[in-house]
Parts: sequence; C-alpha cells; structure tokens
Amino acid sequence: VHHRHFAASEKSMGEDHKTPPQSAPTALEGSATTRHAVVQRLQKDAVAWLCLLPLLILISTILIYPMLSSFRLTFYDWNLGTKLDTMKFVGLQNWLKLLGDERISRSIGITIKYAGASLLLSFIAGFGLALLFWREVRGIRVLRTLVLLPMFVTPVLVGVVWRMIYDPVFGHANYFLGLIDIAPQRWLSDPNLALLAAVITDLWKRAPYVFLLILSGLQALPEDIYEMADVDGASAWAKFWHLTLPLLSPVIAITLVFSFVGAIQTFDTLATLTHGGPGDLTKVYNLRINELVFQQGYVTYGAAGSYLLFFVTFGCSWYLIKTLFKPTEM
Amino acid sequence: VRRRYHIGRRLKNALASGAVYIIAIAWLLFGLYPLFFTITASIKEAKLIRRLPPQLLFFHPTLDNYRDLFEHFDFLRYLKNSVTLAIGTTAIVVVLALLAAYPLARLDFRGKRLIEMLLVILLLVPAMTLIVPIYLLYLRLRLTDKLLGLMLLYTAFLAPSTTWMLRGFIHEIPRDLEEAAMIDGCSRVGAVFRVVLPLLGPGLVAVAILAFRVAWNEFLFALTLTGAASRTLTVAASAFRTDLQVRWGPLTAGSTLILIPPLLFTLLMQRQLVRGLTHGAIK
Repeated sequence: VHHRHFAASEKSMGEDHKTPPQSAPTALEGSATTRHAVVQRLQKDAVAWLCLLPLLILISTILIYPMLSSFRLTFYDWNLGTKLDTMKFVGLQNWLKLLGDERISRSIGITIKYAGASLLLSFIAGFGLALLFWREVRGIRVLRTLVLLPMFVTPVLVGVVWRMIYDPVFGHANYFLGLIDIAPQRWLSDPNLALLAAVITDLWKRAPYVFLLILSGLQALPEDIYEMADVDGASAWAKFWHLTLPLLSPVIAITLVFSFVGAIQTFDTLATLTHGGPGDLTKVYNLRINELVFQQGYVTYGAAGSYLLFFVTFGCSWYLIKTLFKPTEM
Repeated sequence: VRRRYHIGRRLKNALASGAVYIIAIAWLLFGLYPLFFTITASIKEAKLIRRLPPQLLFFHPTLDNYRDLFEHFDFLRYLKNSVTLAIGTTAIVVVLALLAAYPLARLDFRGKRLIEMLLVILLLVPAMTLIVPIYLLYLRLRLTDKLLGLMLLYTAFLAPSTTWMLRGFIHEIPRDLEEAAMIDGCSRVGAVFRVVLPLLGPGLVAVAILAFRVAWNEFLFALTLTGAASRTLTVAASAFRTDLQVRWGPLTAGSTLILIPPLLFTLLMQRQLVRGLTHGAIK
C-alpha cells in the first residue's frame, strides 16, 4: 500500500509534463489521471475510516448516545422505581427548578469554596516546590519521585486513609499537633473545620499534580535565555518575573484549568472522607447530584444537574480546547 | 575581593541548598506520612494500631491483618475483579486507540477535523453527566453487575484520551523513517510494525499505565453498576468506611493492597508516566 509515495511521484511527473509547452497532456490522459486520483483518495478515506471504525462504534454507543439521551431526559419527568412509561415531557421545568433549588445553590457555593481554596493552596505549594526542585541538587530525582507519590493514590483511599488520620481520638493529626500544644480537634465533625480538613486533604494530592506540570514546564524552558540574563547581571527575582513567569504562562494556564476542572468534579475522596457531612457542610456538587439520582430517585432532575456541570466544565476548559484543537500539520 | 565574592556566593548556594532540603523535608513529611502510617499499620498487631503515642518504627511485623482481611471479607474476589478489569481495559483500549491514532496522525482524509473535534469534546465529559443514561442503558442491555459491562465502559471512557496521546506520540516520530522503510520495499503496514511501533514503545507504556490506573481507581461507575458478583476494590474500600470503622487492622491491610499497584508502577515507570501525564499540557 504505497499510496502516499506513488501519489507524490506521480504529481511531480505530471508537473514535468506540463512545463514544456509541446507535451501538453491529451484530454484522454488527463481524465484518466483524475479518475485515478479520485479512486486513490477514496481508498485512503476508506482505510482511515476503517481503522477508526471500532473506536467510533464504541464511543458512539457508550459515550455519544448516552450523552444525547441524557440531554433529552432533562426535559422529562421520571423517578427511579416507577415504570418507564410514566415518563412525561415537562419542557424546561427541571432546568428552572435547578435555578431555584436552595440545596443545589448551597452545594455550588461549597464546591466553589472547596475548589477555590484547594486550587490556591495547591498552586502556591506546587509552584514553590517546582521552583525549588528545578535546581539540579544531589538526590533530586528521588526527592521529586517522593513528592509525586500522593498523586497516584486511589482517590477513594485518600478519603479512607485521611479519615483515620483525622480521627478525633486515635488520629495522628491530633497527636502530632498535640506535641506543639494544639488542642485536639474534631476535624471531620466540627462544622467550622470540616471543609478546611477536606481542603487540606485535597491539597495533599493536588499539589503534587501542579508540581509535576509546572516542573515539566520549567524543564522545557530554553537555558540560553537564562545565561544571557546572567551575563546582563539580572537578579533572581528579575529573572523569575521577566523570564520564567511570561514563558511559563501557557503551562500555568493549563495547570490552573486542569486543576480547577478536577477539583469541581471531586466525588470519590469526599464520598469516603466526609460523605458530605457534617450536615451538608462538605456536600459538593457531585455528591449532591449523586444523592439526588440514586438516593432520592430524581433521575431526570439529576440529569439536568449533571448537564449543568458539563457546561461549566466545558466553559472553563475553553482555553484548553483552543490549545489542544490545533489542526494537525500534515 | 574576587575571592571573597566567590566565598560569599558559595555560602549563599549552600544556604539555598539547605533551604531546599528543609522545605523538601517538611513537605515530604506531610506528603508521605499518611502512606507510611497506612502501610506500617497494616503489619502491626491490631491492638497496637490505635495506641498513642504511635510506635513508628520498632514493632513486631505481623500478617494477621491480611489474614483477617482475606478470611472474613470477600477481598480475594474483589481483587480478582479489579485485576481482570484493569488488565482487560488496558489491553483493549491500547489496541483500539493505536488503530485510530495512526490515521489521525499520518493520513489526510475527509472528516478528520470532525473526529478530532469529537475526541477533544469527549475528553471533557464529566463521568457524573453520563451516569444516569449509562445506568438506564445498562439496565436495558442487562449489563449491570457484569465485569464485561464495566470493561466496555472504561474502554470507551479512556478511548478519547488514549487516542489523543498516542496521536501526539506518533506525530513526534519523524515521518522520514517510515517513508525510508517504504522506499526500501516495506508496505505501509510493514513500516508501521517495523518502524513506528518500536519507537512508540515508551509512549505505549505511558498510556497503558495511565489506562490501568484509571480502571483500577474508578469508583463512581463501579459503585453504581456493580453488585455482589462484580464488586471492585474501590467499592469495597468505600464500604470499609462504615463496616470497618473501628477495625483499623483489616482496613489498613486492604488499603495497602489497593495502594501498592499504582505506587509500584509510579516508582518503576516514572519517566514514561511523567511523559504521558504532561504530554499535551506542555507541548
């Protein structure tokens, strides 16, 4: 299957024929080559689409079809446990209800607080660590790996493990804080502390992620610019402010988008750490939606809620889409 | 004067290195302590785990907690389910994505932009948005509480990102190498097998580990779609939360077993993994 190679040589031969005026191709020859080109083009399309076929079948049945049917569901009313034929069309009712739902808006508020605080802290920590670990000091590779480890812990377990650490009686958080004379706290049941405890846990696994992306960005920066700045006698601060930050800004933007989108979708960790409690104080958006659908049975209403999350995610990721979706340069 | 400046700079460098080490150690204590606690607790005698002050290093290791875990809970079945699921998903998605990524990276065909746009949009679909319709679809297809159902789901969910990453990795391989092989008489398929695949090795390892990790860690779909027969480790771990609230012995033993595979992969394949994770974000 030599399409590409043949097509290329054929094209150059055709041009050779055209340049000298005396050897203009006859009408017959011309139509034959165009027909050949058309057949080749169709063949190439067919090969490409054939390769894509398994993927397309799978994602259209398991991603695209459900995605569309979920959107349709948001205009119906149907609850879990009732027969499917009781489903009735209600227009925009679910969407309007969503806007006026106090528990939903409270969960959105909690999600923004949780994601915002965690993003801010993990960005500062991750960026700081990346700047420190950028230097090639002895043993730095091992240290970098150790910094990354929490990022790879199964999210459900993050909640399980930190729940033990936060235990008011046997937890080691209280034990170690006790050594510096901080009174024991009821981390996960105190209304003033639960969200903070959740944010600290999120910081624990998100900072390594920020660290990884920023460090890779730093390592990809051109070294010669820094050498030139050194020759000019630039201070470390000036180099950071005038070189590192501007050069790194695309990576910073992507890191922020990834981290924020990840944080507002938190489910696993909080499902095991606090389960939304105490009361509803750590019930982030996804926990609320899941509760709506699977505990209260409001399937179509929950579907509308979950679609809202998709729109928000999509909006937040616009920068990411623009960066990712550059046409391939052939 | 020059010498003094030199000494000053060296002192400053030494201080800077010192600062790096101190901050690094502080963060590492915070970052690693929960893991250290879980893993060491899992090999302590049950009655010692909750004793304060904790015995950090010098204790008699025992496997009692693990024995307890396997004897009194159906842990072995969950383990088998998770391993099957993770390996099956990884194998299928890598083959599928490789097949799709090659034309996207190398061929020029009609509808390519459409497919690329579709993949990028699908990258961003939150799992929560799909949970309701997938649940209904699976009820109708009788795929709930079946490992096959979850495997198909994970494969579909991973397919866009895996394809996208592999497409990027194939892009990085110089096209000339393939063309040279084709001039030497290889067919395009032959060139793919002899030139592209060997060079793609590290990239394939990266996407395979990432896929394994996602399938191993997945919770939301597993929670919704599994029953007694197909329950996975993550669902079992979430049940520990209430079942084993005060029994930290089997709780830490189970946690350790779930923690180990992803951590081990990280330590062994760090370079490939980092390449996979940062790909697209950096370039």
